[in-house]
This record gives sequence, C-alpha cells and structure tokens, in this order.
Amino acid sequence: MFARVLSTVASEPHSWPDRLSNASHCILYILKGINMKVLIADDDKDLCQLLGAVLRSQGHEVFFAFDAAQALTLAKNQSPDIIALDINMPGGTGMGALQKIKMNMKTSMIPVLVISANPYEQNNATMLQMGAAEYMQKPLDSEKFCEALYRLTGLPAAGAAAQG
Amino acid sequence: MNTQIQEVLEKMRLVYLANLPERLDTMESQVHKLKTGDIHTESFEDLYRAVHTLKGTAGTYGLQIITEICKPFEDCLNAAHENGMSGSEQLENCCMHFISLLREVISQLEAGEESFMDVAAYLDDVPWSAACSPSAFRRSS
Repeated sequence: MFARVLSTVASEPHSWPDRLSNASHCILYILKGINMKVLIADDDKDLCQLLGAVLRSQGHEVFFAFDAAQALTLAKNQSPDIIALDINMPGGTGMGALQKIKMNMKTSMIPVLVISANPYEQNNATMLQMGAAEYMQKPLDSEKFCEALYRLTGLPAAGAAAQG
Repeated sequence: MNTQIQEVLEKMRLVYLANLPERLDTMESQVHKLKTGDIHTESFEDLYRAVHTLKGTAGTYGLQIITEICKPFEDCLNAAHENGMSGSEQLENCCMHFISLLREVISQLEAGEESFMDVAAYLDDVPWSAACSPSAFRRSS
C-alpha cells in the first residue's frame, strides 16, 4: 500500500503535499494496528448493527450513537476519524447535530458522511453547505459505504496493505 | 466484490428477515390506532417512521423489493397527511394492503425466492395500486 502511495507521488508531482500527508497518515494507522474509528449516528439499530458488523469485518473500530446528543458526546470523547450521520433522527435533530459538530473546535475537522432515506436531490446541496463531506442516500450499498469512508478519511481500503 | 462483506451481509440478512413479521405486526397495530382520538397524531408519526426506516434499511440488507414497496407506502402516508386524511378509512385500508403485500413478499423471501425482477411492474400489477396511489388522497377542488 505504501509503495502504491509513493509511486503515485512520483507520477504526479503536483500532488506531492497531499499524497505525502496521506502517506504519513497511512503509516500512523499501520503502526496503531487499526484502520478507522467510525462513529455511526442513526436511531435505526438494525442499520447500525449491519454497518457495524461490516466495518468490524474490515478491522475497523465502531461506535454507535442513537440520538444527536449521544453523537455529539461520542464525537468529542472518542475523536473518530469519520462520522456517518443520519439527519432524520427523531425530532429532526440530525441536522442540528451536524451544525454543532462543525461549530465545535474539537470536532469540526472530522469528516461527516450524511446518510438519509430522503432523496439525494432534496438534501445534498444543503448538507454540503452545512459542512457535510458527502451525502449518501439510503438504502446504502455496504461496499460503497466503506469506499466512501476510505475516500473521505484518505485511508487505503482494507486489504490494500497486503496488495501494496 | 468484497467476499468478507458479502458473508456478513448474508448472515445478518437472515436474522433481519426473521424479525420482520414482528415489525409488521407493530405497524398493523399502529394502523388500527390511526382513528382512535387523542393518540392519533402519535400513531401516525410512529407508523410513518416505521415505514420510512424500513424503506431505508431493508435495501441496505439487500432486500430491495421491500424498499420498493415502502416507497409508495410512504408516499401515500405523506399524501394522506398533507390532505388531512391521516385518520381516514381509505388510508387504513391502503396501509393494510401494503402490509399484506410486505408479508407476502417476506414469506417468499423466507421460502428462498431471490428474484423479484421488474419490481415496478410487480407493484403496478397489484389490483389496488390505483386506490393507494398518492393522487387518490388529493381532494378534488
């Protein structure tokens, strides 16, 4: 995986700063022995259970929040690498949670992948304006969900280390 | 395709599927409460949330047919609500049709049916589909 990052750096000199930062990020994670720390904030426990099992099968660490308040607390205390946030949690609190995460010094840099069963067209622009890194419409494709997490954190996909 | 992810999905899908009839029982009791006075709004919201959640989650478990049935189900709930018909007998009947269709599909899935090709046509073929379309809830001016 590291070799792959270095070869990309050599072939695309303009991307050196980003790529090297990404490479150091990868080394840090290899040394830590874990892939990602993911916070999933969704009141749907079935969905949390499934996404949690999928992510754990890939070696990631997963935390769950079933409401907005819990999401904020875990975002501050666990410093996840990424947050998957449902904006339609009961009481319409998901959007408020996104705002608070982005307005808090401790959590503002954590990428937030917004997930919702509402149509993409209806929410995408608003969510991006509010600081979301990406918007994904439910039902989720588990593999695409994982790919989005890798893309947004800048980490290589599970198994890439073995291939690199 | 990531085989590890697919294995996890397959295992969890069976458990999720086994729990769905109970969810539908809950939904059905929420439907029956729609016309019962004070708790009417709460029941409608509970039912709406249950359908919305099922729509979002079933497909993630690979049960796309359930998501496809929940889409018009949710649209009907929205249309009935917007037109002040959330306590109507028409909505109650419509909900019961959707729930029985979901039950039928779930038992087919449990029996090992894997292919639900042309879901839209499948839904269009249901004889009551016109009565349960969102436009059926729009009041004529």
